[in-house]
Amino acid sequence: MGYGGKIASRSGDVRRFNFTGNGSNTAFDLGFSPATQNQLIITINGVVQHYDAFSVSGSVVTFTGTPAAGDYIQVTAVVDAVGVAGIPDGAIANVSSLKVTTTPVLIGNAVGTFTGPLIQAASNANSWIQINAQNLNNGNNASTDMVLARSDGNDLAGYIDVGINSNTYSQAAYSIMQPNSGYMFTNGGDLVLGTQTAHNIIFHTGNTTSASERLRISANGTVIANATIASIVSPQTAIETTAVQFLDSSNAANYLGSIRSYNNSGYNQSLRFYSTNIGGAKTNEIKSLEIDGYGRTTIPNQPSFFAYKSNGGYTGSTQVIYNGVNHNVGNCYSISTGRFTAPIAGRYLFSAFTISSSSGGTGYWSIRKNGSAIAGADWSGPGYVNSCVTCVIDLAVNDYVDVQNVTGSMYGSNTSENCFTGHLLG
Amino acid sequence: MALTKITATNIGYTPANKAGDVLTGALTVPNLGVGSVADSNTTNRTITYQNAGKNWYVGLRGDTSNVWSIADDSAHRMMVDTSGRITMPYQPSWCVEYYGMTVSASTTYNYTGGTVFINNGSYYSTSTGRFTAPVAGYYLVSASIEQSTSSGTTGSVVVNKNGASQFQALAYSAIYNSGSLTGIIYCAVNDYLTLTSYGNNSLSYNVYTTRFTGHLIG
Repeated sequence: MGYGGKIASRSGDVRRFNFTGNGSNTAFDLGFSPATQNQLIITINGVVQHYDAFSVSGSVVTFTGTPAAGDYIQVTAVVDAVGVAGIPDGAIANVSSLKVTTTPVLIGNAVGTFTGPLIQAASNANSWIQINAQNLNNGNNASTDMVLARSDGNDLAGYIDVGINSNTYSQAAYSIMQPNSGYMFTNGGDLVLGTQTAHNIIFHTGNTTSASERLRISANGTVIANATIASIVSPQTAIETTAVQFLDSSNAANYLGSIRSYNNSGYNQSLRFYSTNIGGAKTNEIKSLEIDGYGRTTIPNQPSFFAYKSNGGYTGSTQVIYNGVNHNVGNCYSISTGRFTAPIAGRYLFSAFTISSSSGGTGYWSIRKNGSAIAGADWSGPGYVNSCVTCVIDLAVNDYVDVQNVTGSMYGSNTSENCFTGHLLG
Repeated sequence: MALTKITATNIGYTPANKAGDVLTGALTVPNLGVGSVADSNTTNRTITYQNAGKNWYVGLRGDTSNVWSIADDSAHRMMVDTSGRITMPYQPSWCVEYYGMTVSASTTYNYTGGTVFINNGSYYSTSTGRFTAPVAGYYLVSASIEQSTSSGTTGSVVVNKNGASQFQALAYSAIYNSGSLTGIIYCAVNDYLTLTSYGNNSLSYNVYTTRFTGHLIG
């Protein structure tokens, strides 16, 4: 069966399989399936066999003749990795090195869609695919790491390290970590975490259910801490620069308020605090407080009023009903009842000033809380005698404050001389 | 947008993961930055707001006082101390006193100059006698007048906004008799407040002292 032939030189790997004839067997299983018969060079006792002297079906080579007992059969396969349909389990168990130059080493039974990988592990199973590394040493300096080094880096500098400590790990230089800690850090450069497309970054602790989410950086840049506290959002308008937004702890879709800064001369580069009710829409928010670039603070929705009496004077014991207002933030003063009713518990400043009627005489009036006098003034004179009272009163919700004329006759026929004002101080 | 230096220590639920559990542990936020962080003005543990012209810091002061502060790179603009007391040292405020005027009969007297006790932000001008509102808001205004004429006519003090009378107090004719008022008035930016007196009838009167004070209350 001697034959001298030639096979084209090819790139790729070379595999050899050795058999010994027994005088009856004509079929020999290579354990892998060559793509074509042309990949095989077969010698028997050193003599190259003619192409027609054998055939290949799957992984089995079948000779047209029967090798004699004791014949030394060597099958040499020159293959490209692409041309290899597969290597059985354990076939490369004792390979000390594996070198490829132009084609990737494929591990697994599926091919991905990557371009130009060096090593690719692919699977098509409805389960996980793993590439494992494990350091079995349980010492206090042991860990298992995957280290990727930059162009001029090594495992001491210029790398990113992803690993896990042994169960007794204890090193002072890495005391931030505990035994069993997993970690990822860089040396010599920034650690960049992100999503290249519009998706979230989510941090969780405790378990892997949604209830254990602790921090989320959403695709639009909102940072939600503990799913309850706050979200940092990108500018909402052209003149807004940055903001911290607060959400309902039970429903992150509910907007509660925000703190926003403004970069605009018309806004004096101010810092603003906005609020709304639970479940309220952001469009219904109100500006609660603003500190402008000079430190000047305004509280535009603080309950406040200025009322005047212009519809006539009054005499004797009577509640003063101030019939008009210059401002009435929150509508807490009623021109029909003459009462300021506290919408919120707090400390309020009240002041009232009056003049007596033209007839003069003597009189007394007071500022009252829930009908009881808090502070008052006496007056005495020929007519148009001024008196003014200012006081700070603690009020509970729905407490009311009004003015009572006790004795005497008061003037009340213009908008500037008999007035009652108040403001929530805090 | 950058998020920097957040340290979470032993945060978790005890026992684990049941409705109503209390979140334990500590979330340390040395600088939760919105925009690049350039912490200054002795604040630490802040949320930092940065824009092109100004940084704002909302957090605790760095001087161990545990005072909450809203600060910029220049100053602490609003503080809440550990007793809950709030101070706003840059609120516009003024207090001025005028001495020894004579208000002529049937004439409006415009107060200018005076002895200035407080002029925070320098929004009161002695030359014009105007307090010019730097920001829109509600201002607490108080004024008083004390006559030094023993008899004659009733004196008055009037608070004006942009030259128009808002409210007034009278001091009838008796020596050292006084009139006073306190009101809250809304001012838009650049609205100005002035103080005037006028002669009620054909007699002039002397004024011993007049006070004009105010403060931005919000």
